[in-house]
Amino acid sequence: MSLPILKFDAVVVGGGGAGLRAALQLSEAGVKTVVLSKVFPTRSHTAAAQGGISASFGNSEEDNWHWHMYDTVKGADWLGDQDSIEFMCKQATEAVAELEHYGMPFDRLENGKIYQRPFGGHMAEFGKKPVRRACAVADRTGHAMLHALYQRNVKAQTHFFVEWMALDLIRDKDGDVVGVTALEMETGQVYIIHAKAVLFATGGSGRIYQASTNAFINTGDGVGMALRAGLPVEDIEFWQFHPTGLYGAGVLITEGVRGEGGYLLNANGERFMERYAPTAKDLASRDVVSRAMQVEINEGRGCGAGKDHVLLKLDHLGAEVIDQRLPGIREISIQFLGIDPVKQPIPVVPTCHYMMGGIPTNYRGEVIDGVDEKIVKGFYAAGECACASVHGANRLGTNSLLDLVVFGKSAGNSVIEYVKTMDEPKELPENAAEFTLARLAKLEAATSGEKLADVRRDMQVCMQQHASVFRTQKVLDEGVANILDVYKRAQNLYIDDKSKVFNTARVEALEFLNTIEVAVATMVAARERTESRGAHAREDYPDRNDEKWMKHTLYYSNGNRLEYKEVHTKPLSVDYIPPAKRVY
Amino acid sequence: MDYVAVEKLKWRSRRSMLELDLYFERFISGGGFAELNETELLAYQHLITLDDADLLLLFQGKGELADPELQNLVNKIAQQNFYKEV
Ligand SMILES: Cc1cc2nc3c(=O)[nH]c(=O)nc-3n(C[C@H](O)[C@H](O)[C@H](O)COP(=O)(O)OP(=O)(O)OC[C@H]3O[C@@H](n4cnc5c(N)ncnc54)[C@H](O)[C@@H]3O)c2cc1C
Repeated sequence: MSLPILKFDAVVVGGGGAGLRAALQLSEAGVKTVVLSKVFPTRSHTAAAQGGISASFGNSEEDNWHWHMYDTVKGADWLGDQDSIEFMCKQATEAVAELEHYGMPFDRLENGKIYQRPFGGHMAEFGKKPVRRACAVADRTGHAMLHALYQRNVKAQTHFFVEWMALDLIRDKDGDVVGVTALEMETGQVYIIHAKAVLFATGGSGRIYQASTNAFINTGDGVGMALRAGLPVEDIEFWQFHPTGLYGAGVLITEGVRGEGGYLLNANGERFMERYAPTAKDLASRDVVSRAMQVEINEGRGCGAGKDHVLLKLDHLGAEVIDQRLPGIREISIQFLGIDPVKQPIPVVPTCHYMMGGIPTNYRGEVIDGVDEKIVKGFYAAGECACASVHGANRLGTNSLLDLVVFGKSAGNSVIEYVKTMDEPKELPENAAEFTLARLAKLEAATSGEKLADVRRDMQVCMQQHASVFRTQKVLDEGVANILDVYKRAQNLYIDDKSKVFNTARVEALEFLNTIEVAVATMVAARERTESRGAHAREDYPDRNDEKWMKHTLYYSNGNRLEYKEVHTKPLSVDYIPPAKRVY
Repeated sequence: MDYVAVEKLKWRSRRSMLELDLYFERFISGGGFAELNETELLAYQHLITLDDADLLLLFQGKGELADPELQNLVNKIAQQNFYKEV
């Protein structure tokens, strides 16, 4: 069956911060670019980011990119590539200044410079004392970023295909990427988008877990497509858990609550963080607090009928402080749990927040395959779906928004260089859409099978029970068996609605077939890593093991195969920051 | 409104923030959405063109829309009792 073919120089899949920054670079350079997005670009998940974006302007006190780099290397627990980290931290001030120039109304100091706020893990003098490094637009930083970038793209005449879902990568016989297949939801038509270069900026996949701060759209499509195309995913076992997700709903309760004096209690009414982190207490780093909470729950000191959460107490702050300094918290808690934090503590659990791993790239945003990092021609990635790798085993707050714009731009520049070398896209392989059409036909033909809601729930429960904050060999071995079983069932999905146009059941099924790839990758990679590093905490291997494990995981879905490659220890211009114990 | 138009409204209720997804999802799966009449569906269509940050404020009762029809809908979505006992 032949499909309509649309031709562009570059196709960017994803209209969040990374995709829009990349597309802008391309369009302004005259590269004919289309952005595909499942939703209107300004409704991408980037809009949820409130905390801010880091850049060492030093507007309030001395700061520089060397200190930012040190914090990022340390935060990553020495699993980050130091060339990429240097690149990002060095570019940060220019990247944020650019955003300001595009119209992002950053909060300001009286002297007109960008106001900067403190944030966990941001330190001066190589980890000695806190520094103000986060730039923000009130509590709407991500939202303001998307709006500024979208407007700028419209001006630069970027094409937008909104409510289009990319389905699969198209690779030719040399393995080069020459386009994608995509579904136009409005008509149900599948297209081939033939291009000189494809850039993925599809965001995270936090929906693999039951407790997640991520919006429903974070289904890991980019990673799923890359895996199906025979490419690897890097360090996918590392997921950041935020300590205070609202029990049952997942909604993020900002660290600001603890910053203002709120604290955590177990079922005995004990302020348990005093035992785990006597100095920082409830304000210790995210992974430390999350693990402490999980220990309390695992050891039977959890609260509620299921003893499965702890409590965040803030009633002692008084209604005035809560209303004025913690906007939205009271409403969220009342509306989602029926609990008014002015009177009662809020039930919270460690909640999946961010995917550190992703499609492996270098700092130029070029996708690289294998231990020898062979460049996959025509394929680029940036943002949460990519692994450059700057976040290593644990991301520092506000470094993601920075990652989006720095590597979005960098990947854009690499695409510009690449497309210059060719007049026309490389030829499409004969069977370009065969794989996609077979997948769709299977879904179409099924007259019975697994219900999406059931398999999705089972995946989420399995991930939550077997691959969350604490991991052991036994729990992971069982997890692998369980998740492979869910994977098998997922290949047998059945949807009632077979209509062509705007069939959301079909779209959700196709999304899930991506999400489950990410879930399997996570479990398999986590089982193998017998050490504790950053967000990957093994009860049975409590220490970091640099000798054996200071290396990146590469997972291939074919045969659930794992390979390992070296961490980049050569920064671009400065000295290597050697491993040290990660204490705060 | 025809089936496709209604499906479109449901898809466009996918937002950038989990809070909004939860409000809309529970409104849809809890039956509130299915009870909307034609005029209300048109109001819904309008409502979901608003910015996410503004929608969140509206659902949290911090602000009011001039159009009573729209505000009614906001109230319906925000006031659902959608928590379970913990
Ligand atoms: C609640 C919350 C708060 C956060 N706060 C901060 C913060 O303060 N600072 C910070 O640095 N980080 C923060 N983060 C992390 C940060 O927001 C994200 O990592 C980042 O926004 C991801 O951006 P992105 O451009 O990679 O992807 P997204 O913004 O998620 O965009 C993905 C895009 O891809 C599109 N897409 C996906 N799949 C397909 C497909 N198959 N076909 C077509 N299009 C597709 C989507 O439509 C969307 O446009 C926060 C995260 C959460 C959950």
